[in-house]
Amino acid sequence: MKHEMDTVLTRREVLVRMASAIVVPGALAGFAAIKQLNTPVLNAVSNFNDEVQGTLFSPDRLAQSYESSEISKPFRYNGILPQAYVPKLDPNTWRLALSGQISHNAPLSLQTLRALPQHAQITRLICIEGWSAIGKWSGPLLQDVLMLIGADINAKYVSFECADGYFTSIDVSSALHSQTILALDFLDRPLTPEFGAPARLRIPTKLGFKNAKNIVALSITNEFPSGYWEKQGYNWFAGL
Amino acid sequence: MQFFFVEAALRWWFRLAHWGMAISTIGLILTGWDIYNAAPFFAFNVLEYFALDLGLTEALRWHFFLAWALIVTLSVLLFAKLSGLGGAGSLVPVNPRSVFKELYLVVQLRLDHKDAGYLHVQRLAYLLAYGAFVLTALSGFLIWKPVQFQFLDFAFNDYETARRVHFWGMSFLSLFFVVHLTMALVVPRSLTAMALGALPERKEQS
Repeated sequence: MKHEMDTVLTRREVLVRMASAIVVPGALAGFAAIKQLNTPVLNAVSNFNDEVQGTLFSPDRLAQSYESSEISKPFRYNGILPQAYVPKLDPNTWRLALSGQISHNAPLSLQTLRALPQHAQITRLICIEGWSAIGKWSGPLLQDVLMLIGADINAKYVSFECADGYFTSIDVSSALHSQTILALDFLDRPLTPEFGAPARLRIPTKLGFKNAKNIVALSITNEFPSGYWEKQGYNWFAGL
Repeated sequence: MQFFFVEAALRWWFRLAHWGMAISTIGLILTGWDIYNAAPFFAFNVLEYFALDLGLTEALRWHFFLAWALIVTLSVLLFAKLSGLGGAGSLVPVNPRSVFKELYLVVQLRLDHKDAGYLHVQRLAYLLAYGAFVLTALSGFLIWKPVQFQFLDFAFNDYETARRVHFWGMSFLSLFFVVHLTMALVVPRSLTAMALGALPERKEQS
């Protein structure tokens, strides 16, 4: 009796064999397809994440502020170029070029930006790689700059171009956030080239790579401007 | 009869969700190692040797895809658990004395798991794994959104602490998976249970 039981397949054993007959070739086909499908699928997920983050973003929620004693020393350098190759712009001749949906497009000088109310913040810069560092930045609110140039705040994007060819963009809601500044100073002194002189974006509600340095041009637009890393697959919204 | 089909369908959903969860969790762990390697916080980094080497960008893209997959499968699993159709046995109570007794038997390779339901040592392992799972997921949310989800600061203090909790939660889950799979291989009968759902009681053969 027992011997007979061993040779006859039970219903469950038949099911297991049927399942493995489907699962094994299926997994192999899936593996082959993964390379073909991963770009469009992962792009779709990234776009979906942009939507979710746009919804989660609250203009009233502030990034945590820290004490002076908590500032990271030394503050880590990071950029697309080695530190020695960082462009050194002359602060006297430097102008911020403006374009897009704005009413005044005369380039802005450093004096004009310094004449606006200055806001200081001690916040945490979080890199997409995972590390973070606390620093102190000050400069005019980006919303004051946008107001000054008569930007259309119903447009979708604010884009930034940098002296080293780097570029990035943010959504207008994040640009109007009360902690988003066009930083001119770092640790109470004018920015040095490696930390973004003469002007950089400091936006503590977004990942580090959105905090463009050595900015030379700003634009307000409805056309998706993407960015240097974003084009290589980083998530665009990159909100914190 | 009608109910039987609903139950059978839910059982399959439960199995599918279990596999979806297992695959996404393992994928999250593997891609997580690549992400960790972009900025390790320990001087000694073993993960360098085990990571997939996808690069940070690809690893992050997969990590987020898998995070969504996990959210979906976990919801199905929770629904099945709550509706009482998924679970194999109760995870409570855990009797510490039984845990030690069973561990002692495991070491002697004498543990015989005949009874239906979970052993106390299994219950403890599953409960700890659930705990690690919740901590890892929650700290993950804080790492993703340290500003928007800062209400989670009460549990993890800040971003950097959350990163470390995420790391240790991952480490515990990796260990759990190794033990979980080893035990399943040691007791081959449980592999079918894993793949297809809890086995019906075996009738004693004479």
